[in-house]
Amino acid sequence: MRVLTSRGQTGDREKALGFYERSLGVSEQLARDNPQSGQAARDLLVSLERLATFEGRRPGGETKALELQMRSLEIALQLRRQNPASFFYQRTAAVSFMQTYQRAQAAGNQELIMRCREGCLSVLHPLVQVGVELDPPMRQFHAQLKASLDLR
Amino acid sequence: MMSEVDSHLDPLAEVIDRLIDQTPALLLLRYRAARLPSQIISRLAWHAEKPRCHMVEYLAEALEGAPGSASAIIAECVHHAASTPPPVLLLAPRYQENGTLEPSAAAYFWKQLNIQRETLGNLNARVLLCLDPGHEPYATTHARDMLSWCAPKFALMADYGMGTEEAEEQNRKVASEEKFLEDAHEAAQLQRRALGPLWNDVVSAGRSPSLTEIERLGLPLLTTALDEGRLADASALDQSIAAARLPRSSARGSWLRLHGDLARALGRFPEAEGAYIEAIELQESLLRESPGNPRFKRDLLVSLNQFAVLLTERGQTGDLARVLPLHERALRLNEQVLAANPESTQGKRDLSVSLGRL
Repeated sequence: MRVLTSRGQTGDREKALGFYERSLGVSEQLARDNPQSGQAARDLLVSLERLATFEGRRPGGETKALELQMRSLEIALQLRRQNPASFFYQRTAAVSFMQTYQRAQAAGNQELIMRCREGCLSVLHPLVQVGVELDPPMRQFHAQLKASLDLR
Repeated sequence: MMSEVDSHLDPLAEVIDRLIDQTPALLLLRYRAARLPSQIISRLAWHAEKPRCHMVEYLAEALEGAPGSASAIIAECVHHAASTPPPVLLLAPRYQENGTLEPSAAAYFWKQLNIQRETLGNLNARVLLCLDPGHEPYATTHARDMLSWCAPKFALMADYGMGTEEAEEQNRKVASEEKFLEDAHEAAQLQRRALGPLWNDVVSAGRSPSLTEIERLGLPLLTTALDEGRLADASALDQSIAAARLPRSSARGSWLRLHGDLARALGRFPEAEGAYIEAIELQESLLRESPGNPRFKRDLLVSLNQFAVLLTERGQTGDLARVLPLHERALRLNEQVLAANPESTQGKRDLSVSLGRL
């Protein structure tokens, strides 16, 4: 919960948007200045998701939210490619797929919904197979994905 | 003596000689290029034979706290720097037998050095960070962060344009083969493996940890345990630190804030609130005494933000109204820290986080 968006006074949303955009700008600059830093990439990913969440709650903001979320997903996948042995980045990619899936649903983008399901499953399934215990929300989502793709 | 290699090292030799002549000077040297290190180290060794010089060797692959690690060499530097007249301190790397440094270990070393930069910064010495464009990014980030934190106390050797074309080519080759480092995540794991046993030795000896041990071992371990959600470990660490009854200090402020973080994670909100308020009051008073101290400003802004997070999570009547002023004050402090050091990576990260919490 963010203080300005939850308080809901006149002008709060605009102020919040300004702060989040500035936060994104700083993260983008850090990522540009430190192109090899995983941490800078992760910070950018978080800033993009935050703004995507904000836009997603705004009437008519679904497309913008999806666009921001897609950028975030690209970073998550890049980090995963560069750190193939890292559970941390596997999980980051899975969460990002899950959020993109939700944004794609809101935007009614069927093709992307399917790609996200398959992408997320391709990340989670190998983890489950080697005995990684997923946290409850991710376990539930994995079960849902398996069920939905089995039904196809 | 230096005659044979002088022609290869003119720019570097001049810098080293000039800095050593400007007593007191502290040289920090880190190089990975294949042929350059031995030449540079030769020159330092030549200087080290002078009466007032001390050679301090670091081992990039040494676990934190062990001989040759960042903590150990900083302690050694502090010891030497206290002598009269101030000595020239030469810090040089000791390479593995095959002449290389393991990249993640080197990055970890630089992170530790950066964490303890204030100790180095307080020495009566200039600190020369030897770095070249081919250095691995994570190490470079930390070196540049140190530079931005306290220039010109810290000077960057790379800015002197040192390094031969061949050496730079070698560095580029090595750098291009490296993967992204897992930064904080990997560093946290390394830290736990490295610092954990040292802290356990202190605790199992049945004595109260010293302020230095708490700063260098206890607080970093408590931070990592909280970051990773290992609350049982965090509670044990917290109790050991509490039992030491820390004196009024930046370390006590940091511990109070971390104690608040732990109590919040355990749902003990009133206890967390008390700890945050005590931390903020202490950090405010420290800042009043040293208004320009960037570390005190950062300590305070982190506590303000964490207290605001507690109030947001708790959500009692009136809490929300208290949140915004806390975040706004943290943001102002953040802006001040950045205005003083516009290139600080840590400052920019803090700003991005602060803005995102509003």
